[in-house]
Amino acid sequence: MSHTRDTLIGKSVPRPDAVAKVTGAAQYTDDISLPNMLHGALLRSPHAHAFIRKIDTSRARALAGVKCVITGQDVPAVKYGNWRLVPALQDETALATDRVRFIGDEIAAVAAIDRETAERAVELIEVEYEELPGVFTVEEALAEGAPAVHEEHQDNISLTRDIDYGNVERALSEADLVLEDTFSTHPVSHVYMEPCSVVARTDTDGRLTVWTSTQTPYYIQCLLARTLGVRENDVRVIKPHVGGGFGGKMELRPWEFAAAWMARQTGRPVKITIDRQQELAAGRRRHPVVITSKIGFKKDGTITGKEVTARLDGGAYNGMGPTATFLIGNFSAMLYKVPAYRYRGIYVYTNNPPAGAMRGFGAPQALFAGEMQMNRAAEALGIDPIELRLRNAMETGDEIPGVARISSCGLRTCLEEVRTLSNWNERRAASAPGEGLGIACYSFISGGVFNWFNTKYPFSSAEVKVFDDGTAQLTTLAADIGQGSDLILPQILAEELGLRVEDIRLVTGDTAACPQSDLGTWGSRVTLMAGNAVRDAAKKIKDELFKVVSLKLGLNVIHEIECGHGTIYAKSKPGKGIPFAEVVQMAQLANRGEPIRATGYYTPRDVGLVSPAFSFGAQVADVRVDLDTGVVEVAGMYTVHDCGTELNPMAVEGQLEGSIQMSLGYALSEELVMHRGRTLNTTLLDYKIPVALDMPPSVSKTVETFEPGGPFGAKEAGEGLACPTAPAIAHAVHEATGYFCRNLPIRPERILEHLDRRAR
Amino acid sequence: MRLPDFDFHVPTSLEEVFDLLDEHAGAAMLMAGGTDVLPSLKLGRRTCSHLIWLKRVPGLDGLAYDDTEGLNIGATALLEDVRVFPATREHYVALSDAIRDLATPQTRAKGTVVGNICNASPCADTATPLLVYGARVRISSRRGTRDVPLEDFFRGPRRTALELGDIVERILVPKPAPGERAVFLKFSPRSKVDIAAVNVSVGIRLVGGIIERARVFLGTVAPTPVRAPRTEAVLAGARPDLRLFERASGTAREECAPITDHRATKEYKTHMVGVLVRRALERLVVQA
Repeated sequence: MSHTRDTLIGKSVPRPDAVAKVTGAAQYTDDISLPNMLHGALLRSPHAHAFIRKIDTSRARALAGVKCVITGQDVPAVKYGNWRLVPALQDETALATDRVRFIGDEIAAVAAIDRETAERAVELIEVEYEELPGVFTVEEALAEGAPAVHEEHQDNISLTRDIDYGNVERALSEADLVLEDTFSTHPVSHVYMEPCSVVARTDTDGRLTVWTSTQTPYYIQCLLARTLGVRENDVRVIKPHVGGGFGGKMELRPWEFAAAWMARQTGRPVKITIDRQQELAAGRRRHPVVITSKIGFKKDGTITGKEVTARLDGGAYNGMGPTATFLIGNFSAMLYKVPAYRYRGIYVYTNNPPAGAMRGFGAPQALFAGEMQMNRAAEALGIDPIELRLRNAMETGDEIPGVARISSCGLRTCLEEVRTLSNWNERRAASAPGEGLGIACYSFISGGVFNWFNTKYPFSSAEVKVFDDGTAQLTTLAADIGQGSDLILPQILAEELGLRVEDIRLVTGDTAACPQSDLGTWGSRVTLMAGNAVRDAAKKIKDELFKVVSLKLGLNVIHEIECGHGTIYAKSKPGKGIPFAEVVQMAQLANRGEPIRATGYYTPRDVGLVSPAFSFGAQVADVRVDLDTGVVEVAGMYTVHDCGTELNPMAVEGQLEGSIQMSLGYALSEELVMHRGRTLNTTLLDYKIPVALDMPPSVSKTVETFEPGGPFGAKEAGEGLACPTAPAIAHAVHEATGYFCRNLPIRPERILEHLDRRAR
Repeated sequence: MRLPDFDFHVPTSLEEVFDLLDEHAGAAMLMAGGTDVLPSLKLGRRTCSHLIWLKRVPGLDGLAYDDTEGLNIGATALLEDVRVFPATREHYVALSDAIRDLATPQTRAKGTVVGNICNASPCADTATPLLVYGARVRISSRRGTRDVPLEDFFRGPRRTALELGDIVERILVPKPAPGERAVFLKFSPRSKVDIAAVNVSVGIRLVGGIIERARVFLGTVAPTPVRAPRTEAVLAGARPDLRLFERASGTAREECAPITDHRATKEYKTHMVGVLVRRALERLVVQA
């Protein structure tokens, strides 16, 4: 009875935008040039902490070619932030009013006939500062009598988050082994290929249109409307091609506000493009975190309980910090069955540039600490690190009380497979000095459940129209920033309607054209949430079309109807279908000409506080350490991961390669070097991202599970993979040299110091 | 990050270069490939109001070799051209290796050896091999032409022996004596494409199994590339073996005085000088 039709699920369909991107045809925000367009520039604070006593813009205004100069005095001081649910957490204004809190804090903006003039005018703005003492580490900020970054928070603690279940005291007292360790992580930049850019224009009808390099057009629309004092529908946000975001482009930014304000004021379009130096000096970065973790084990390796404290260096403003503070707590109790757990996360203000969301969002830090500690425990217990993980691994159906339920989990299989793939047992037994294998695991979310943005709309929406020429149009605000949703969502729709991917036309990235709403690209939410919305719309379309097919074929009511090969047919009689185009034509006729269209929605409900689904994986790093120089060479990476159904293996592979590149940098070479709030390495000459030559060979394998909450069983792929690489490399370095890294990045100096100490 | 305003001059003869240097004394800067000059202007590390581009001056791109004069590298000869020049590969392996490890293919296809030297960065990759080979810098001006040993050319970070009105016309590298060979080694811990944290060049002349003389130059560990005379003295007249290399390595460590920066700590750079000197010697002797 069963009939298998061709499926697009699991097919490596190539990306439709690839050619345009590699040939330079794809248009990014900075490529946009409008008639009469002005160019903007920003004045940023040279001080980490100061009062602004006086701003004199007269010389800047007097410069020929300058059309507009604004400061915090000229615009409403509306505080904004992504955490609309808790207005007290919205602590930022687009331009500083009376005080600057980090080096790079935006103070004023200029629009002029060209960029050179705008930048020259910025230099002519005179600001009188009264410098204030600053705090630059979590310890300094929390010290007694430390200067306060924000008046409202004299202790520099913006917020705390707690998770608590089971009896942790008893769990630790009953343990045979208790380990307590403190780990710290460092600030790194997203280094998205496309630095931020915005173009704003007031339309003839008064509506504001903003093209911007963003992951979240809907947030920009809402927050821009609020800061400008207009209605949401008075702002139209368009997302052109975006060259990566990795979490760094998911908030309203001062340049978006400034360009919009100046466009309104001058009646001319305004463009502001941020350069790499500003991106590195003042841009959002991954939170540096100090994590103290105490964990108990029975002799046989069973975890009895865990207690974790995390102190995040948030920099000058909250940004997405409240979410990170919670997620570190969540990820510190993932992967393994932890019967008793207590977490306290503390978000600390400092006078460093604000941190923000970045690929993995809390998980890279939490899992660096957690996985390094697991490896230390394995050594102390005399149990193989993979074996120790297998004894504690989460399984489908596990729960974190009050927080999350694990609806699918392939972690055990991942561990077993990576052991085989990396030849773990033999290689470990035979490793020479300076060689080592290391392991770490990850778990990650497939989108966030908690409505911190306080949207009144569904989390994801998709409108589908079908045409009598056998094509369909998908309209959605789901934002492709390079991850490939402009391929995956049409692929899902094509699968549903039995069409080819090239039969689907896509309209996206325009708040005025797309259905309300989509929360944007973050937290690996798009495939699951927008994918489910697409399926919901497709189902509604199919309900319409199937009526016609049933009628036309005179089907008994017990028949199942299916789409495939461009036709619609009774499942038991696949050869006797009606062409899709013809069905649409008939349905439209029956509808007295009205087009066949439907909008589908998805909002996660009753799935805990965190995410509807969790992915898992295990990764082994194979390293060689030069014992003379301490230099770590990663000779190979072995990855086995569970992303549910793999919708498009080529896309998943791209994610995996990218995450290894990024995490290699996190582990070994990248670091924003800070001195009293100043970022010292502000060029890519000095901020070292790994290049193609640095990439290790990599072997990977996917463990297929089926995620009931995901489209066709799919869940997150690629973001969680940003987590295991650093601890896997650090563990391998430990095996190779004895050096146990507690503070990232892994530096050759520290390895040598360790070797020297050991030699003495 | 934007370029400051400057007048861009494209002279087509040395005379014209001299005229421009006279006319804009103190406000002019010379540029060949621009791979150092333009970024430093953009970053505000240097300023100038007149930029003189040398690429259209005939003859400055010359690259020649003969057995008596040695290697002759013109002011606008490209790094990549020098690297693949047969004589470089045959007689000046340390130089071609240094260029191979310098920046990216794009930079090597635009930048010049003379520019790398005139930029006077303590970590310039071509500096230490040219020093080991005893290169001289031919400086021209309206006043005439003079040759300055490269050792005397570097005066500090970004500072050279060039005076107002001077231009480096070419670099002359004598042919190595029979039995004389040199090795360049560079170390950058963070990436395969990186500025050196430490670079060294070591040259020795082996005669009858004895190191007749040695030349050792260290980059990035002082305001200029520096010679390590005590290390050379340890090596001179000695029979090469691992214990000797260990001693030379220790002496080189004592002889350098690097600073801590965001690339590496001074302790680590010092350690690395020792490692690189030892490895260079090992390589030289294995090759022999």
